[in-house]
Amino acid sequence: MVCWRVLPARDLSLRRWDDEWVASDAISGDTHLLSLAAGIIVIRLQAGPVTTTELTAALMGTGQAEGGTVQECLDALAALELIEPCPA
Amino acid sequence: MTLADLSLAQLRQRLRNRGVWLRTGPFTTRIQSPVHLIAEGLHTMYADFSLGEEEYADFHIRLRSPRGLRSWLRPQVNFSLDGGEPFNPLPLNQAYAMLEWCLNWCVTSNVSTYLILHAAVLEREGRALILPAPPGSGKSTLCAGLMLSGWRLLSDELTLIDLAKGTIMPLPRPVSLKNASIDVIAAFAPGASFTRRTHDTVKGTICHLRPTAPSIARSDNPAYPAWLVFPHWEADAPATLTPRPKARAFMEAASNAFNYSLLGAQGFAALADLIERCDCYDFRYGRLEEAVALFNALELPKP
Repeated sequence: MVCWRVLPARDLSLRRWDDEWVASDAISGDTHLLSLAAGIIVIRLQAGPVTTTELTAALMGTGQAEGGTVQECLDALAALELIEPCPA
Repeated sequence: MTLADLSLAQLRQRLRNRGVWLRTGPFTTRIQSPVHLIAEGLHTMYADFSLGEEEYADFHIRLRSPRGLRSWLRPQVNFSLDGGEPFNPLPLNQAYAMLEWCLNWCVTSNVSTYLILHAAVLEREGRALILPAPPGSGKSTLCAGLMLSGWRLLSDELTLIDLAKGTIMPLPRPVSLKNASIDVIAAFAPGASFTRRTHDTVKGTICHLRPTAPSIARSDNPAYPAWLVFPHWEADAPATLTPRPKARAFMEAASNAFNYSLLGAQGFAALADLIERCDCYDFRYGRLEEAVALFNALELPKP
């Protein structure tokens, strides 16, 4: 079972407006524009590691888990080096 | 005491010797220079500005011609801050423009008590209109037009966001105009006061427009951010405001900030709070009169 977490070397701040988020990492100085689903994922992961299944369930409740949305978001967030897979 | 209390001859003498302590917004700059164009420009542009006590200055700057044979063949002017010379000299006829550019540089390179956006900012009824934009977007033309129509100028170039309060601190200084926009503003406000035109700079032909007296008189009064507008001039385009999603406005504003990354979480919080308080728009315009009329009719954002 795949589990995800925020990279330990990140200090993320997030703010949401309408259906988009802005995430800023105080360590790297980078700021990213995120979709609604991606922002929700980061918020969940800030509380601790979560499995893909649990994330999908969490996003179902927001109507953001259609199709490949969750995996696409996870891949995109990993590519931005904000999150990474971790042992369950 | 204001700079207008000095005759041009007295100002030249002071600049050659101990210098003047010029107050602009929250900063005091000690300026020393034997260059006549500096005295002439200051006398025209900063007449209503206060002179500070000769004790403390945030920045100590000098503009003078390098010595040597070159000074006879091709006169130049050199800028120094606290004894260091960060830039190559410029032709002497660009001395006043160099002063204005370097005053901006002093702030953007040395101040971290404010989040600083590359943006014009003006005020009406206590509320600030922030205009971030890259060069060539019509920002300064719009800024000049609004100032000459009664808006209070807080700054033509540098929006200072108070990190603790979220208010905008004024830093009114002359408005920098270039190329075609000089004639646009001269036609818009025939009584406006300009420096002489400087040709062949890296930005083309430039000149500076004197800030209005109320802008200077109220330079200690901060304003509350209300509108964040990204201007774009386009020939013959009708004046049009289009709402911009706030997250995207944030990203664009951050890309126009000088010290956003340097301030880390503090910078993020300050900019995010500013976005919360503002109505955000993209703005296209082709005629200054139409643009000014649109902004004059703009309703204050709902709390």
